[in-house]
Amino acid sequence: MVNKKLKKCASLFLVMSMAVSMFAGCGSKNETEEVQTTTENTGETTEAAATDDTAESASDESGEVKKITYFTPKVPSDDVLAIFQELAEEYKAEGHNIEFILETADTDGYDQKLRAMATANELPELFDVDGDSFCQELADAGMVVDMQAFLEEIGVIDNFIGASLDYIRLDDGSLYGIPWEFATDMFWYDKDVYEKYNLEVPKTFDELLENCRILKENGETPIIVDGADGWFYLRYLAMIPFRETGNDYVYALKSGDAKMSDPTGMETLQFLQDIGQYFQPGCTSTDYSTSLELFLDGQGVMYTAGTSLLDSFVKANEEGKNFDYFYMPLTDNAATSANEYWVFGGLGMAANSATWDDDVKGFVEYLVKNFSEKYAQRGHFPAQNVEIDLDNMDDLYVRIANDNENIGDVYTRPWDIVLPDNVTTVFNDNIASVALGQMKPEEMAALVDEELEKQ
Amino acid sequence: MNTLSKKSAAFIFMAPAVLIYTVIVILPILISAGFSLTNWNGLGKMEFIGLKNFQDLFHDRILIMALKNNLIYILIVVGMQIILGFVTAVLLSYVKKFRGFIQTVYFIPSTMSVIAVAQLFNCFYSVTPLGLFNKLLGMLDVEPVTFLSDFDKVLPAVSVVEGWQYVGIYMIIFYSALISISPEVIEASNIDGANKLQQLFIIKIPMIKNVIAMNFILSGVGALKGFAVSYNLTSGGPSHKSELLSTYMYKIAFTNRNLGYGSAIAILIMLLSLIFIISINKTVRIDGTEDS
Repeated sequence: MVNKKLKKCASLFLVMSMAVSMFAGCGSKNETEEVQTTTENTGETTEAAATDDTAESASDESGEVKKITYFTPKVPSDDVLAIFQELAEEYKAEGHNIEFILETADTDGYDQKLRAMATANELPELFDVDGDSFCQELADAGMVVDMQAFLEEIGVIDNFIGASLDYIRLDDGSLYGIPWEFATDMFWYDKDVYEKYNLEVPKTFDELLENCRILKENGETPIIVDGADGWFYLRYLAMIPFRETGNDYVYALKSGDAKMSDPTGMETLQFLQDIGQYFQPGCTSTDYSTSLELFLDGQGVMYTAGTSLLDSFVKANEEGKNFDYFYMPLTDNAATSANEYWVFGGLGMAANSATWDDDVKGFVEYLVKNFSEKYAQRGHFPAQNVEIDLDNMDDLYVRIANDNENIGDVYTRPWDIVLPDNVTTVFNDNIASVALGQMKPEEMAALVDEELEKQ
Repeated sequence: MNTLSKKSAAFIFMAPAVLIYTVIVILPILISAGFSLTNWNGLGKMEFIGLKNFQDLFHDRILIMALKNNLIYILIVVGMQIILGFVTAVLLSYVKKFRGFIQTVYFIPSTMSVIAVAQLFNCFYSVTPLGLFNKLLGMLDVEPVTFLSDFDKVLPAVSVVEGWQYVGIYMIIFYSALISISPEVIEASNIDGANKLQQLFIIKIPMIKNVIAMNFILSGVGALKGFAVSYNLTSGGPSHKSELLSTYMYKIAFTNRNLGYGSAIAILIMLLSLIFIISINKTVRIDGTEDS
């Protein structure tokens, strides 16, 4: 009898132990700490609760380490990230007790995870944004720091190249991201193949299509694309409307003053279908890095890419290739000129307003003031004006630097940033079919117009 | 034995599991059901709209396409997993040497990350550069096939990947069921003059029908929830030709940030899974009794 009672008690004890340990495990994630943060709106110091993961209180005096997490879709090998980590080490060496935590994700995964974090009110201290509708929603919810005010406060706003800042600005002109690069987009091409078939650099889209036709007839793959990503096709789609209207057409689409079935829209959809036949076979499963590798390997003759990949082309030329570039061609009745084309500031670094304390602010200021020179030394174009010794730079870099000096006033706005998410989704889901000739331009236009009407 | 027979002891032992299940499964379902009655983008204000999201489901052309695709996906995936799993299990039961090795080899794909498998098949299906399948077709003088771009081929191409990956699991389950059949029954059938095929169809299959039904449920529900392969290979494209309910739900909820409508689609997936399970159960009851 006593044994049976003992067994019963032992069983109960085991069950309760398991239940208690389960609760203890669940509980530790939800502890909160009160920290001092400076809000973007009032500039006053307020006390706010933050999650355990993002706000261990830190001060140089107490010796506690301040963890600053930066969440980004940039690839780990990106020079921007390498320089951030370098600068973080230098900042620490100056006596600041911070731990810089870099968290990366692929582009799709990044977007979804960032949205989930925002919904759960668990944004990291620093993360990347575009000047798109999601950034606008974060701004409206007061979740991101006003970077215009911050950059003015630390006295660097005038150092920035206007086009880089404008790339990340929202429609109302506000700025919630810090750009790090000044990148332009162009067509890269294999000069040797062009010379082989006596082709000239195309000045118009018709000439571009003609070059593609000749290349294909001779068994070459005219254009390599990152066909797995919808935004790549949108770059092609944006070109003709930009040449004919500047950015007026895409903003008119957004506001409902224009339709995709308008003549401009139909013209550009037809152009995409015309040029799509010259993309590499099976392009829809070619991702960004594979597309670059294919082009560098000589599997295609042309490839659209930005100056952020300049070092890849410089290195390829050093190894025997002969890559060169030309900018967006013109149309017969172009409203924009040849020196007006794609200009990017890259993704902007945004800051979580709930965790924007002196530690984070100080670190970001250090990054802003020390990044650009290091970036230029690595053969890139930073978003701030810096002195660059062109004598030591590759010929491609020197020519592009000179082009940047003569760039026009209007820059192509990416459609995936201007248009609402649901419209971009329609493009992403269907645009490849248009390029491959599996969907008629009229059908695509109807889908887009239907989605635009829902706005 | 007396301890276990008491209801209070049973409740106490079940309580932790029930609690965990409630918190991890039931509670999120209820929260999702709540979201499905709202119009909410995850950041702004949540607006109660009643059953409007569910009404919109019936008029959503893409959802209907995704549902049709899912049914085809289920047919291919379940067909592959059950048929191939069963056939390999039967063959395995006759293998004397290297059985363990063969079991392991067939099971390995099930242990691989689905992302890795998707990337593997992305390379296999590739045209530029030429992937394995197109190289094999080239040896037969067949032109390269754009498996993942072709409107007609993309859905089967995506389905085959998930079907292939988990054949090993069902092979193991069927194999365990087959070897658990009493040897005396088999001996008796031998004495009665039954050949191997007769033993298989008349004795073994009826005796393991509950296991077959359970595998149908597992495989079917898994295919209904299928997401990772389709999303990683094609993101549901081109033009929704490989769109499944779960990939569409994901895009609506997290890309378009329409959490209300996305939750409504999630509830729909749950209801369809329940209907599927109940249908299989009604046909063959898992507890061993047969429907009259």
